[in-house]
Amino acid sequence: MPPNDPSANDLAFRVQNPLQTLEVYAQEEMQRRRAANPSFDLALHHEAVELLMFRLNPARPTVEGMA
Amino acid sequence: MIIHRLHSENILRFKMLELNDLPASGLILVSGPDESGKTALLEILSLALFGRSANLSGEAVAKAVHWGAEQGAIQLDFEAFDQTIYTLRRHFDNQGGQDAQLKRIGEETPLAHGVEAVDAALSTLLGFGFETYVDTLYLTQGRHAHHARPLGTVKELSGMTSLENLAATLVQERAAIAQKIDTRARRQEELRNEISGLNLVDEALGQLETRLQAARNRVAVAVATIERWLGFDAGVVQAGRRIEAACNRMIQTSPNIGIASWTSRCQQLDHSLKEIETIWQGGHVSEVEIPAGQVRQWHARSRARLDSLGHILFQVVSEQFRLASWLGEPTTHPAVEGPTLASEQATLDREQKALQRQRSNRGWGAVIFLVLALVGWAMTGLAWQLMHHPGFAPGINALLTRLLQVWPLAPIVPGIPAVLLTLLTLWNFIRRFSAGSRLRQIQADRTVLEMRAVQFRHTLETLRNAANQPVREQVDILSGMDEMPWSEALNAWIREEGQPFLDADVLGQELSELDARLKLFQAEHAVLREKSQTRVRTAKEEHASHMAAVATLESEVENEKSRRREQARLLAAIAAFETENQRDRRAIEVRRSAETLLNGCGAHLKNDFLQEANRLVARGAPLFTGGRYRQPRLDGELNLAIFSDAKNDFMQMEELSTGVRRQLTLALRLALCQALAARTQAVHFLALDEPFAYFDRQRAGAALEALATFSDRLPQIWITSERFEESQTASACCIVCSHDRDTLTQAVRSTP
Repeated sequence: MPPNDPSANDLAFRVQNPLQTLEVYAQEEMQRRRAANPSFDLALHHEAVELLMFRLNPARPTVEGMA
Repeated sequence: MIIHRLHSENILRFKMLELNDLPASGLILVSGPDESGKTALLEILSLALFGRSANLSGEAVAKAVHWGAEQGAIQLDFEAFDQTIYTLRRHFDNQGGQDAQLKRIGEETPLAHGVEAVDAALSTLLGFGFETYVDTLYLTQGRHAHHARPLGTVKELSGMTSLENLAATLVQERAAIAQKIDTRARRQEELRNEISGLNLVDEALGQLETRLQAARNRVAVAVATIERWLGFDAGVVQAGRRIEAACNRMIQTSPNIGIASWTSRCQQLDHSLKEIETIWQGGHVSEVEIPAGQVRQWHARSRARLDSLGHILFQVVSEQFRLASWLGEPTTHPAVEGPTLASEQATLDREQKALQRQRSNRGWGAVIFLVLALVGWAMTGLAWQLMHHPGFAPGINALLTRLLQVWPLAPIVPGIPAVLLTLLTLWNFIRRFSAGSRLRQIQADRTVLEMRAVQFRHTLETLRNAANQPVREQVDILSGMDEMPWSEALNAWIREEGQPFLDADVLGQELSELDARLKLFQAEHAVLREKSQTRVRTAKEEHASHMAAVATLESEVENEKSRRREQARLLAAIAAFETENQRDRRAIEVRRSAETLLNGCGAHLKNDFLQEANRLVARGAPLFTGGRYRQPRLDGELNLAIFSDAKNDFMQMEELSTGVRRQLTLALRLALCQALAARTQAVHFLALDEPFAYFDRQRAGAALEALATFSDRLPQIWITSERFEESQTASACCIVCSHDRDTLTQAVRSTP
């Protein structure tokens, strides 16, 4: 831990929301893969993300048949 | 979750435990000698919350009941994240049985009743389960010994568990989908084998339908043939009967019948013969000769004789009509053109009247012209006298003299009219005489005409009488009439052809011949019918054969169509399976991609969590180690390494002393407790059983002091220890246990 880290004295444990983390990660992953592979199957990625969002948060609207 | 009140009865070593008015924040120090009930008190907390403790679970929970008692009970009042105080009651019996009830304090109606319902409700209220509780909030002495690494709790707190559970679910789904795809692929292969087993040939159906149509055409031809031959047979039977009837009628003929009867019989036979010929021609039965040939020949001969007589009789009838028409008698036939008696008589009358009028006129004309001629002649003579006797009339003479000078022929002019009138007088006399002569001739013609009318009436009467007579008498009458138009032809007919009509013996011979020919026809007719019936049978047999062929081909066509429908059904099923497989392959790809995302995100979460844990351990570790260790490093397996100032190097847990390991483990536990508080978004109590067992007094004091203000998310901290320093207990709530007492009743706020 760097000594000058301003969060060093923060007493609270910062926990990540899995759903939000997954959304951010999926977005970053999509950009990374598209940059690495222009023919990246974007639709497949979106379907996978929708499936995960629905499974992790069933109340969230999703595309038909994703469940 | 903060503990406000704890009561128990007959649980573990306490017959009665009553801890009231527990402080919501600060240290709750439980002290006492060994086996005085410090650990049991924290176990009672665990039993109240989860029905089990680190040492008692499953059937061993029966041991929670105080020795010698049959049942025990715990009542726990606690404040949950919603700042509501709940009362939790659990009952235990010494057989391991439990019952539980949860309700809000002050309410009579429980929120949940029964162990499972209460556990489920508590899981929602607390936000964690027993394992997490043991890994974080509840430090037992056993945990010190095992140095367990709470990987499961780390995953739970970091949020990885839900991702991993979902990933596991997706893996299972992917496997199940793959199995479905394999099953469908096998089924598709089976269906393809079934299609191959059908052995379908593209042209087979067309060929079968062509053959079927040809067979149906043959059936239609056979039906037409049957109908034709049945019609032919029926016609032959009918015509045969009519020929027989006509022949029999003819055979019964006698010489005494008239020409009309002869003609009728002959026509009947003629019609029957033409009928059978028509049937023969209509039936297109060229292979069968026209029947009744012998009868036909007889009929032709007889008909020729009758036709000859008919021609003669036609002349007779024509003459009869001519005479009747001339006489002016009504007839059924149109009147014969030409003069009639009446017309001739009228002509004579008109001519007679004209001649009489002419004769009268000529007579009067002759008289007048004669008078005028005489006057003319007298005037001519007077003119002549005047010219030749001047003194008779001098004026007139002088005038005539001048006239003669001008026109010398003037003296003859008066004679010319006299001559003409004389000639006219003669012409009238001649014409009157001629008319008289013609009148006499007309009178003679009228007499002749009346005689002809009498003769014609007689002839007509004779002919009419003859017409009603038998042929023989009729011929005798007609032949006896001289100089008639038919006389020569009739005599020739009598000589050459008429004997069968006139001679009974000859007629008998002719009819016998007809009878013989009729019998011959009957034999032919029987043969003909046999042939037609044979043809009908043959055609019916052919029809039956063709129908059987049609039925067979229809069955084959239907079977072929059924097989093609089966092929179509199988192909559709294969296509449907393929569609489902494509959809499922896509689903597998989606899940594989989702698993990759989950794994990546899980690693991301874990890394973030470890960074946070490192940060908080780094804050806690110096407090518990007296500042000798810092910069802890947690790896993914929760292996902890920490920098030692004394060694000037990072050291693994195995390289450290038991005391340091416990100090670092406590720091890690506190970090996890804060993570739990953050994850559940609530404050919690902390229960530490003998956390400073290997701490020296100074380090224990420092740690206890640090714990008191370590985190506002962990305000209530229960700590057990054999003893605490007075300085430590001054600002804390103390619970003192004693092994010679099994009852602990204490209002902890009234700490001594």
